[in-house]
Amino acid sequence: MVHNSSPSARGANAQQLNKIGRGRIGWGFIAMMVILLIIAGRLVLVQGLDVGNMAQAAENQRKVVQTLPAVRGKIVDVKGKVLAESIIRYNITVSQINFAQYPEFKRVDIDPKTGEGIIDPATGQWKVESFTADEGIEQLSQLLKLPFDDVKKSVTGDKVHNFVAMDVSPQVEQQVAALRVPGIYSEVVTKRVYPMGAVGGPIVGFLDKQGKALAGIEQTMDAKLTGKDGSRTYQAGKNGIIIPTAPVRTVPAVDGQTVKLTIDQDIQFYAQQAAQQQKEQYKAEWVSITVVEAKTGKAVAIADSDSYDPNNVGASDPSDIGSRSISSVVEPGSTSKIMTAAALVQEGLATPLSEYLVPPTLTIDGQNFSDSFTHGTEKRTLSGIITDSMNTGTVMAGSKLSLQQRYDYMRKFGVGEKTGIALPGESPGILAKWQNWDGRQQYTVLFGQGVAQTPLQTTMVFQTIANNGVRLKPAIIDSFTHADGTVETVPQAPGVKVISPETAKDARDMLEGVVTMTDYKVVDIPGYRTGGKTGTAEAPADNGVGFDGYTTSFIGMAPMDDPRYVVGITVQRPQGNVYGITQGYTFNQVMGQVLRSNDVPPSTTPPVKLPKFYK
Amino acid sequence: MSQNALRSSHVVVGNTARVLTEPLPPVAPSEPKVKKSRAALSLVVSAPRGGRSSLAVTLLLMVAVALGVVLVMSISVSKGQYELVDLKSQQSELIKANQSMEQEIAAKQAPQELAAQAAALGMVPAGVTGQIDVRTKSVSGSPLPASADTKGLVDIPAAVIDTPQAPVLVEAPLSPAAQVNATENSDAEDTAAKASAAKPSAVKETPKPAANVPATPDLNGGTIPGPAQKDS
Repeated sequence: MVHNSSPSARGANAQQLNKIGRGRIGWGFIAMMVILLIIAGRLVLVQGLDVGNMAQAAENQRKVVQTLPAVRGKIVDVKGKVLAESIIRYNITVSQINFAQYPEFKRVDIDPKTGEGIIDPATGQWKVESFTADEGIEQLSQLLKLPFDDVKKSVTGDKVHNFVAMDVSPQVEQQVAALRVPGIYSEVVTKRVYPMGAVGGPIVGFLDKQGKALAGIEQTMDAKLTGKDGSRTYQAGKNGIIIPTAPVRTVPAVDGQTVKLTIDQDIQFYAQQAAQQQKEQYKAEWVSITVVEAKTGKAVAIADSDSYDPNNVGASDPSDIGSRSISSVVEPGSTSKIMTAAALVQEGLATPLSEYLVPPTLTIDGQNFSDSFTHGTEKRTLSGIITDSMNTGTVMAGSKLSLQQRYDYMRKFGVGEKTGIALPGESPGILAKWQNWDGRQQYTVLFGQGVAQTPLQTTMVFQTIANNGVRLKPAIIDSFTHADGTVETVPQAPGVKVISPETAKDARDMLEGVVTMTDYKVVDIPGYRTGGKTGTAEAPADNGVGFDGYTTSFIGMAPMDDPRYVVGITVQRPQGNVYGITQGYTFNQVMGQVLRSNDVPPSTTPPVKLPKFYK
Repeated sequence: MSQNALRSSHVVVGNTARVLTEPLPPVAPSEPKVKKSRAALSLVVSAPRGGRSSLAVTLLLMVAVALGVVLVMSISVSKGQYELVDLKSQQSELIKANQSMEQEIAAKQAPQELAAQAAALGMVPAGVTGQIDVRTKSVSGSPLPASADTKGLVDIPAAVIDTPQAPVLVEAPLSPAAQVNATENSDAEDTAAKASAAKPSAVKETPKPAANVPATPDLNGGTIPGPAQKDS
C-alpha cells in the first residue's frame, strides 16, 4: 500500500505544481508577449509607420538650413572703378543687463604682433589685466570714436539689446571684440557703399534700409544686380558642428551681376565740379552738364549740381534726389534753331548761304518777333542768322516749313519722347501736337520756345548732327558681368535717321560758325575745332503762370573734323543779366578735359568760317 | 480447424486475468546486455578543432579592425570637420579684411579724395594747355606754366562712408617742386595748411586704447594677406 499510495500522492503534487507552474509560465508568457507586442507595435509604429513623424522631427531638430546670401552686384564705371558695392559691416550692440553685472572685468593681455596672449615670465601664466566698467567704456569710445558719455548712456540701463554703434568696419569690430568688455556683442549687416559719394550719385541711385532700390541704376537694374540666394542644408549636433556622415545639400548662391556703366568717373567728377561752380557763380537754381559720345550715344557724364551722396541721402534736399538732366524739362531756347536750319536744308528750302533780308523786328500773322540785340535791316545768310541767334531771321526762314514739318522734325530729333536711357524718372518733355499750336507757338517752336525738353534730349539733338544725322539712344550701361565671369555687352540700339549726312555736315558748319564768326569769341579749346549753339529761354514759372527767370545753355561738339563728343550745359534761373552770362567758358573747361583725357588728336583741318552776311 | 483452434486456445478477457502475486522485478536501468560487436577502428577525418577557433579569432579581429578603422575614420572626419569650421572662419575673416581693404582703396580712388591729396601735395590744376605737333615742330595754343595760385573748380564733398578705421597717417611729403613753392610762395603754404586742416581728426593724436590689436591678420612683415581659402 505504501508503495501504492506514495507515488500516487507524489504524482498529484507534481501534477498540481506542474499545473500551477504551467499556468504561471503561461501568464508570464502572455505578459511578455503583450509587452513584446506593445514594444514591437511601438517599434513598427515609430520605425515603420512613423505615426508621430518622429524621424522627421528628429531630423528637423538636427537639420540646419542656412541661407547663403547672394551678394548684390557692383556698379562700376567704364574704367572699372567701383561706384557701388556691398560690404559687410557690424552693429555693436550691448546687453545692458549683462554689462551691469560686471563692475570689473579681466582680460588677457594680447601681444599686438602675434595676436596671442602674453605669458608672464614670472608666473608662467597669461598676464591678466583687470579693468573697471568705466575703463571699458572709455576703451570702447576710443575705438568707436564716440564721446564717452554717449557710449556710457547706451550701455547703461536694463535693456537686453541696445545699439552702441552702427556700421562699424570688420576691423573695428575685431578690436571691439578683443576688448572683451562683458555684455558687448556685435551683429553682422550687409551695407551698400558708394565710394565715390556724390560723384555720379544721382546716376547710381541708392537703396533704402530694407535694401529696396529707390533710385538710379540701382532701381532700373535691380533685377540684374540682385542675385539668387542659395542655401545649405546640413545636420548639426548640439554644439553646432556639422555631423559629417549626414548628407549636406548645397544650393550655391548666384551673386548679382556687375553693371558697368558708360560713365567715366573722372569726367563725371569734373563735370559735376563745373556744374557746381556755375551754380554758385550765378546763384542758379540748378545746372546740368551732360557729356555724350557722338558716335555711340554713350553717356560719359551726366552731372547735376548739388548731386546727393547715396551714402547719406537724408542729408540732401529731397528736390535734389534724382537726376535733373533727365527729369527736368526746360524750354531749350535758341539751341533749337539748329533743328529749324537742318530741317530747311534737308527739305531743300535753304542752304547755309541762303540769303535773307532780316528786318529789325518781324511781324508775321500778327505776331511780332524781335532779337536779343538791336539791329537794322541786315542782309543775312542762314548761317549768319544762326551765328548771332536771330529770332527774326529764324522765323523768317523757318516759316517756309509747314506746321507738320516743324512738328515732324522735332519729333525725329527726339523732342517729345523719352530717350530711353536706363534711368528712372525720365521725362519725355512737352511738345504739343501741331494742330494744337496757337498763333504764336507755331513760330516760337522754331527758336525753342513753347516746347520743353530735358537737358539730355537737347544734347541728343546735337548728337544727331554730330553723328551724320543719325540719332542714337543714349546708353548708360556698357555691359553686365555675370557671377561666373561672362560678360554680356549691351548692343548699340539702332538709331533713327533724322537728316542726311550732307545736311548734318551743313548743320555742323553753321554750328562752327557760331564759334568762329561771333563777335565775342568765348568758345575756344586750343588745337581743336569746335562748334555749338547758345540758348537762352524764359523759364516758365513753377506755378504755371507766366515766366520767372531764364534758362541759359550751350551745347557743343568737338572736334569738328570728325565730332567725337557732345557736351551740353544747361543753367536754370541764373541771377543777374542773362545776356552777360555765357556757358562758353564752362564748355571750354569740360570739353577740353574730355578731349585731353580721351587722347583725341587735335584738329588738322582749318576751321570753317561761313559768312554771316551776303553782299 | 479454426473451431479447434478457438477452443484450444486460452482466452483471457478483462478481469479474468490472473493477478500477479509476485512483486515485479525491480526495474533497474541496465545497460543493454546485448553486446554489440565493435566497429573496426578506422581513421576519422574530422573538422579541425583548432581551425574553428582561429576562424572565430580572425573574424573577431576583422570586426575589431573594421570597427577601429571606422572609429579612426570617424574621428579624423570629425576632426576634419572642426578644422573645416576653423578654416571657414579664417576664410571669412580674410574675406572681410580683404573687402575692407578693397573698399578703402575704392574710397582713396574717389576723384574728390585724389583731388584733395593732390592739393595736399601742393599740386595745382593746369592752366592753359597747348599741343605740340611733332611733325611741324610747332606749338599750338598759348600754354602757360601753372602758377601756384591757380584755383581749381569747387570741391565736391567726399563720400560719407562710415567712420574711417584708424587711419595710419603718413606725413604727406611735398613734391620737390611743391617744396620750392612752399618756401617761396605763401600761397602754396596756404594750400598745404588748408589740406592738413581739412582732416583735423586724422592729425589729432588720440591715445590708443590698450588693446589695439592689429586690424589685419598677421602678414609676416608683408603687406598682402594670404589668399582666401577656396570654398570646399
